[in-house]
Parts: sequence; C-alpha cells; structure tokens
Amino acid sequence: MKKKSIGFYLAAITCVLAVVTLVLLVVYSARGGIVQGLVWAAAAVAILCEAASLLGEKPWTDFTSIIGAVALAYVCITVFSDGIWNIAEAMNGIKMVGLPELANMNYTLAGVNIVAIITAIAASFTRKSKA
Amino acid sequence: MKNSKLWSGLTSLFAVILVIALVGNTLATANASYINSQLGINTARVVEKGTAPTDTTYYKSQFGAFDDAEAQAKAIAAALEQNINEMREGAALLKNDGALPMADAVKISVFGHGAVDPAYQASSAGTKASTGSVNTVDLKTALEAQGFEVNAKLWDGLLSGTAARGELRQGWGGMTIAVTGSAAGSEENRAFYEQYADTFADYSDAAIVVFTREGAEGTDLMMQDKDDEGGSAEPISSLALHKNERDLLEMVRANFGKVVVLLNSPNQMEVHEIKEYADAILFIGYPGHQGFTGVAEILKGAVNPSGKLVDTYATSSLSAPAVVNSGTDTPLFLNVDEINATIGDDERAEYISFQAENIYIGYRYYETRYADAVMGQGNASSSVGALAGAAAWSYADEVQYPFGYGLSYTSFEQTLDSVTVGEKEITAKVTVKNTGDVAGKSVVQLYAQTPYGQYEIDHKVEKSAIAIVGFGKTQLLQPGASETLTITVDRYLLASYDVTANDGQGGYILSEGDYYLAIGDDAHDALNNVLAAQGYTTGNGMTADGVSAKSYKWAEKFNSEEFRYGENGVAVSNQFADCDLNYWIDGAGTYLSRSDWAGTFPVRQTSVNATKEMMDVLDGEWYEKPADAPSFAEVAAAFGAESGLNLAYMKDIPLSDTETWDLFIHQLQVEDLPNATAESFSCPAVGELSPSFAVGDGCDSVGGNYPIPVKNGEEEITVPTTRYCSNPIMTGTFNYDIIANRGTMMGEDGMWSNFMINYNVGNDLHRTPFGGRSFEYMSECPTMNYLAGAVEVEAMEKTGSHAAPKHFVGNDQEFYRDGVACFFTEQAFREGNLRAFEGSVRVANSGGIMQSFSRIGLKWNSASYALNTQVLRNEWGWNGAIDTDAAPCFGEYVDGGYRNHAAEVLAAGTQEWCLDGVGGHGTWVLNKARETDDGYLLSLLKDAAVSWEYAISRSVIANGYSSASVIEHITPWWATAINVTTIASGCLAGLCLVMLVLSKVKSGKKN
Repeated sequence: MKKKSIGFYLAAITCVLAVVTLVLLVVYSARGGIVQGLVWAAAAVAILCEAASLLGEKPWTDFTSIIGAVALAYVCITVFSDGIWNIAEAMNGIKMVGLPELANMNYTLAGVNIVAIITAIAASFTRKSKA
Repeated sequence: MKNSKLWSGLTSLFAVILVIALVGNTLATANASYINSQLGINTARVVEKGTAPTDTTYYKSQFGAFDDAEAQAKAIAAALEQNINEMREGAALLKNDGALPMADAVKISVFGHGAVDPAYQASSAGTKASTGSVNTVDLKTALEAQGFEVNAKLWDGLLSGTAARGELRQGWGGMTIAVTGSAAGSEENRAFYEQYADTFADYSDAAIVVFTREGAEGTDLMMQDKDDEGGSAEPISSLALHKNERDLLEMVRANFGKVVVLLNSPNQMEVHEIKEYADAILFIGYPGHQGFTGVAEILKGAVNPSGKLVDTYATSSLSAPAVVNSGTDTPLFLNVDEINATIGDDERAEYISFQAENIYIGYRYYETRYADAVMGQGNASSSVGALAGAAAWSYADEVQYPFGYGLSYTSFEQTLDSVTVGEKEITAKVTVKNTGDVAGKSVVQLYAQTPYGQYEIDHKVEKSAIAIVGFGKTQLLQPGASETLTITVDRYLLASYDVTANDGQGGYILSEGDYYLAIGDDAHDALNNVLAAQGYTTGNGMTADGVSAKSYKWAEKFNSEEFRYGENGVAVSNQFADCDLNYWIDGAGTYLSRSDWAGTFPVRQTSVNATKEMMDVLDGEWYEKPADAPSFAEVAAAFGAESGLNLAYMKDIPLSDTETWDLFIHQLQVEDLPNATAESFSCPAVGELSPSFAVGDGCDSVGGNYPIPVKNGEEEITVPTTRYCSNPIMTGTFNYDIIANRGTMMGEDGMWSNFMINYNVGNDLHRTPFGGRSFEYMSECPTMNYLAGAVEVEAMEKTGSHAAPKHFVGNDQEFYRDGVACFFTEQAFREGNLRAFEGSVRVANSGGIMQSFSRIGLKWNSASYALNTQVLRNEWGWNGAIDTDAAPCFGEYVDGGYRNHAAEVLAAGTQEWCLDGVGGHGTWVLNKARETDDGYLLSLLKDAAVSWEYAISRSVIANGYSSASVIEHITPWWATAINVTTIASGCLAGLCLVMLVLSKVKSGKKN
C-alpha cells in the first residue's frame, strides 16, 4: 500500500462511484426511468477503465483514465437529458409526460456522476503509484 | 507533475467538456423552444425592406401602445380588477345563519392551515401566485384592508405549523415528495391550536376557518384517502372532513359565537358535517392573485354575494354514478399483461374508463332521479346507489346544495313574465325585484325539461329531468328596485342525440310531447316548479312545493329534421358507435338509464379482456396510403414558388380563398413544413412566412409576462400576467359581462405577452367531484360550459391573441389519463363532452383547440378521424388549429408509442404536436411521405401549414408586417456558445491527446 499514490485512491473512489452509478441505473430503470443501451455500455466501460487504473501505473493507464472519465460524462449527461421531464414536472408539481416521482433519483444520479467525473479527471492528472 | 500526467488530465478535462457539449447540444436543441421562451429570445425578426408604413399594429391593446409603460400599468390594473370582480360575484354563500356580513366584527381569529398556505391555484400551467409573490394579496392582508384585526399570535403560529397538503412520502435519498390529492395531514391537530387558546378571547368577534383541497395536473383527489392520525382506520374520501379538521371545528364552535368556514377548494367538499358547526359557509374556490380581496369584502358586507354553485354538493362525494370507473379508482383492462405483451406498454393501453353514468353527470343524475322518485317511475326510490345503509334513495339525504345554489344578504322575487317560442329561439322575460333591505345582484336561471316518453325508452334516448338553457344577472338592485331580463335560448339546447333517428343514421331530435321552461333559485328549485306545473306536491315526496307560475309549458311534435344538418349542410350522423364498449363485446357494459335506476346503476366496476380486434385498434397503426394518392414529386413540385405574398397581405384573405392560400404556402420548401406542425413554448419560424413566437397556456392564467420591467421598491421586476380565480368561480358569477371580460383580459394578457394563441379555456366537465383540474374547468354541466365558453371565447377572439379550449375532449380525470380508454354512448358524448366545447369552438369560432391524452373508445383523441374531421371540420364547419396535448419528441422521434403515430394523427385531422418544438413528428411524416412516395401525406402537411399560418395571420404576430416586410432568422446566443464550446473543447482535447501520445513516445525513448 505504501507504493499507492493519490491517483490510485482517486481512481478507487471513481471506480466505486461508477459501480454505485450502475446500481442506481438498475434501480432507476426498474422504476421506469429511461436508460439507453449505450448508457449501460458506457457505465460498464467506466467501471472497467477505472478498475484497470487500480493495477498501478502502466503505459495505458492514462488512456483508460481518459476513457473512464468520458464514459462517466456520457452517462451523466445522457441520463440527465432523458430525465429532464421528470425534473421539470417535479418542479412544477405536475405529471404529464415524465415520471416526476423519479426526479430525486435523477438528482442523486447526477450528483454521484458529477463527483465521479471530478475524481476521474483528478485521477487523470495524478500517478497511480509512486515512482 | 510529469508532462504525460498533465496532458492526460487536460485531455480528460476537455474530452468530458466535449461530451457534455455534444450531448447537451442535443438536449438544448430539443428544448430550444423552452430555453428561448425562458430567456426571452426570438429566433426571427421582421425586417422592413420598403418604405416604412404608417401603422402596422393591426391588433391593438385597448389600454394603449405595447411600449407605453402607462398603458401596461392600466392593463395590469384592469386584469387584477377582473380577478377581484370574479370573486365578488362568483363566491357562493352556502349557509348563513345571520353570521354574515360581519359589519361590526373587528377582532377575529383565523384558523386552518389553508389560511396561511391557501391554494391560490393548483399545479398546472400558467402564472403561479403565492403568498408574497408579485401582485398577490393574501387573506390576512385582504381582511385587514376591510378593517378586521387578525389574531396575530395564532396567524404567526400557523405560519410555523407543520401541516402540509398532500401525503408526504419518503422519496429517494431521504427527500420527501408531496403528493397532492390527499387531504391527510393538511390540517394542524387539536394540540397545535390549544397552544393559542389564551388568545381567542381577545379576538372572539368571529372565527374564520379555511379548508383547502388541491389536486394538480396529473393528480386527481383521492377517492380512497387515509384519515389523519387517530381518525378512521378505513379509507375515506379526500373530500370528506378529516379528523384534524373535525377537531378544529369542534374547538372553534366551543370558543366562538360566530364560525365562518371558507371552502378554498374548487372540488365539492362534503359539507354536511361542516354545516353542523358553522354559522356561515362561503365557497371561494381558488382566488388567484387578488381574489381574497373579494372574499374579505363579502365577509365585511362591502359586497353582497351573488355567486352560484356550478356543481352539485352531494352528501357523499362517492355517490355519483360516474365515480365507480374513474379517477383514482379507474380499473385496468383485465388482460393488461397480454395487451402490453402484444402491442407494447408504450401504447399506454392499460386503463379503461367505462362511463356507465351515461348522460347523468352532476345534477343531471341527482335531479333526474329525484324527479323520477316523485313521479314514481323507473325504480328511482330503490336503495341501489343510495347512501350506505339507506333503505331507499332520498334526494334530501343525498344532496346538500344543488347546482345553481347561492344565498344573498338580501332577498329577491323573480317573476316569469312571458315566454315566446320562436322558430330558432325561445325568449323568456323575467322580472326581478329586490325585496330585501340591502342592494344586491340576482341571478336568473332558466331551465328546461324535455319529454321522456315511450319513444325515448324504446330508443334509449336518455333525458335529464332538468337542464340549464340560459341565465342572466341583474345590475345592482337597490332595495325595492326591479329589473326585467330577457333571456334567449337556442332551441338546439333542447335537442337530444338519438342514434336510431333518420333510419339508423342518427341525429338530433326534438322529442314529441310537453316541454317546460322554468326559472328557479337553483336547478332543484326550477325542477320543483316544473313538477308543480305537472301537479306534484310534497305529498308525492317533493322536498318543497314548487310554484307552477314560474314555469311555462308548450308542446312539440317529433322532429328529426331541424338539426339534421350541421354547418355547410353536412348531415349530422353517428360517428362514435365504436366508443360503446358493447360494440366490441356484446353485453359488456350497462349504461345508467332512468327507465330502471335500480337495474342500471353501476354498483361495481366494469372492465373487460380486450379482444384481438380491440388490441389491433389500440395499437394505433391504421394509416394506409390511399390508392389514388398523388406522388410525392407531384405535390412537392408546387413548393418553392415565390409569389410575393406575406402575412400582411394574408391577414385579410379568407380561408375559403384556397388559391391565394396555396400561393402563399407554396413559397415554402417542403422541408419547412414540419415547423408548421411544431407547437411549443416557443414555436419555430416557418420558412420565410412567419416568425417564431410563444404561446400561452393555462386556464386561469395564460402564463405570460408584461414586456416593460417595473420598479418594485429598489428592484426592477417583470410583472407576470394575472392568475384569475379558478373557473368554477368565474362561471359561478352567472354574469356574461364578467365571463366575457375574462376572455377580453386573457386576450390582452396574451397580446402583451406576444402570444399567438392561448390554450386557456377549460371546457371539460367535472365528471366527478375528484377531478384534479376541476379548478381549470368550468362546471359539471355541458350547457353551462357551452354558454359560458361561447361568451369567453367570442370576447377573446376579438383581441389579437387566440383562444384555444382544452382538453378536447373527454379528459375528465388526471390519474391514468395517459391513453385511458373511455367508453360511452354516442348520446352522452355528444350532449356531454362535445356540447361542453361546442359553444367555444363552433359558436364562438375559437382559433384553436388542444386535445387530451385520453382515448375515445380505443383511439387516441388526436388520431380519431371521426372526432377531428367528421365532427370538427365537417359537422361544425370549424377551421381552427388542432393541437395534440403534450407530445414532445425528446430530440428524436420514436416510431411507436401512442402519441407517436404521426401519420395517423395527421390523417385524422390533427395538425400540430404540442411541446414538439423541433417539429419531430412533422419531419417523420415528411420522410415517410418521401420514402413511400405518398403525396397525400405531403398534402396533409401543407394543409397543416395553411391552418397554422391562418391562425398566425389573425393574431398579434402579424403586427409589424407591411407588404415589404421579410423575416430574418437569428441564431440564439446560447446555441452559438454551445457550438463554440464544442469546437474549442474538441480541438483542445485533440491537441492534448496528441501531446499525451508524444510525451509517451518521448518517455518511451528515454526508457
């Protein structure tokens, strides 16, 4: 553990948050929320990339970090975009074409995703293990 | 930090920004209309290319120029005055044991969570008024303005109370979501109020108690609600008193000499218990911005109440026959899983609402059953459908306040002077005398009874024993003064729809037999006057003896010709046979009939297994290219031809001049046509023909803003358009002048907001007391809506901002409204739902309509050819713009789903898709027409463009156009910003990636 640097811990946090995102997506989808096929794939890619970063500093680590961050960003903005009516209707206290009861899940997903994106980007700036 | 880490991090950062910009661009483009409307961005402007014309403001405000701050101030003041006038004349005094007016009362205590947190409106479209918001007058302020001194400790205590409307439920992550529709927890408990008991004595002139009920768009009030803690363990109606409310009434009764209850609810609360505790009850609905001023004036006596109920207040809100299959109790199809597996759950074909009540909604049920009970016919006195435990059905037990009921601080005497039955109209003269000792206004209500004989029984033509056919209101009559009102009645309102008439073709008939007109203080009183003329008395079970002199009788022969043809000579004929459940499954449903109340009253829910044939229709795919359809190229060839015509010229061209309209529209490219089907918060420009513009939405407020910012203290603010009283208050004025002025002022609101059209006239029926949007809809009575709607729309159409009634048609519930399959008899549909809109649409020629989410029979309303083409276009001869209810494309059209059968919708006659600001449906249709070489579909898109441009040319949007004006398109700044961000982040991400690779290569060489 002594060889692990800050980048490792950031990647680890990102990885955990990506898993949490995936679990949330499963629940969200089960409750009727829109989750496109590419979102599932992106979430899986994000988990794999961030997990790969945990293997320590490798020649490809920088690229997997970038791909993981991009995948998380795609999940975040797409789920938010597809849930925009959930949020709009919840804010207006109406039920029209969305599922306002899922608005809190949209907020939660967005929150978890944003933190994950930030940690993923931060991890990209840092080494995963001490030289 | 090593270089590779820097480039790696920067690549991540810019790549993430790039992804967000790319996906965000899709999101922003899909919602461009909303973004533009919120930011006040117009994506096109009119540019003058010739000599500046003298005056191109074709549609002017009555208050002055649109850039004149003083004129704007006058418009705002007039709107707020209209809001107050609605309450002054629409609030209905239901009980008054001498408690009101409170001229001498000064120090009062105000109770009820609804006092400090009233529903100014429920959640839906339009401006939101709330305590402290611009122009809003709260109850305390209004009371103090009338000289009342409000118990401040109690008021402040209520402000910090914990009661909240709607059942609070745990949401995700510990957050709570308020679900409206429940009354549980909406009132503070007894212990809360007991904290303030020591303040009562100092403010004991009167206790005012406010009770509130609130639904919302998408949320009906609950038929099976839970009670407050410690109350009933069994479900209760949300409209019944809940435990905390009962405890509160007990407490104030014990502590105050005068108890006045305000019903802050457009839905009919169960008032029988309230009557036991209260000295006075005032129905105030939702007050909007300043309706509380009118309430306070009534309480003080500055205004004499003259409003009347537009709904029946039943003892049990669950006793109406319509309740059993609707609202929160709407049943599922029995084979819902099979339906979803067969046609997909995106078709939203799960719920079925069998309208077993037939024509008997509201008073048409209670009063008709009463008449039959008096006359001893149709098993009306049977216990079937009576209150729980009753041995027989009894009107006195069933109804607390009838339709049209409302007290005054004075008394009036009404005399039916004469009735003249003409060929087209019936004219009644009624003299009203103020026999009391204070000035007041009196409502004259004119009702009709038409024959119900053997023909009607044999042919299943149902008749309400009484129906309002006209009304009027006096000026302010001083004590002893009198006024004679003349009320004309269109004979059409006496006709009934008979599916067997004209050799089975169907049509409206005038039954053979005796007809009665009667005046009355309410529907029940008028019916009693008719029954008196027929020789019935209290000895026959009447609740009171009627006055036969207040009725008029004449005879008609059977007549199926008088209303055989609609506008333009089109025969009126059966169109909705397939909306009867029995059409699909013989004997599946029984409709209520006065021929046998006991045998036909719905005592259990009706649902069925949808057959394969039914699922084929529920699937929504029926469009086929006509065999004689022209080719796409043939129709497309006419487009792109410059004719020099523009809106300034077209505003004077009638729609019947199809040649000129074709020349105008053919200036477009076919690719421009989808924008003419795109109705949204901000509608896009259509080629070079019309600019982008916004529309209004909301039945008690168009939801706009006045253009000139005003000072509010130090702050400069934008003033929103006025939230008027809820519609049952406006309709309850029974005052055509006030109803017309609502139309005028909403038109003004629309013009000042630069709205082409406003989806703002609520013509749907209060099918049950539980409708979540009853506050937006006029009444339970189709002829009331017909009469009031015609006046409101006619006035609004005289302004430069169109009226568009909604939700056409039959959307009488909010829960499960998405695709709910409504089944009914054609008579009930035509005399109920359709007639409720007919005044606004056919008679007053509204500029448009908005449809509903529900199905009529198995077809989505928007995809019903019978409804949109046969009835609206052919029978009614109406040419306004037909818009779906919300059908956004989310940026990309999805082929399938019940709102997305675009070809079917267009072929049915619907021409715009609501909240589809990107024209996704229209684009899909255009592509389909091109792919299938279907010139007919393309011609339907052209027709939609004609209809849309016709409405635009008759609106404030045409202001500023001269014959030399052209449209210049503008890219909104946010779109430019996103594009710049996309390009910049893309370039930077690419650059950083290259640098990363280079650094890796360099580092590799070093190693």
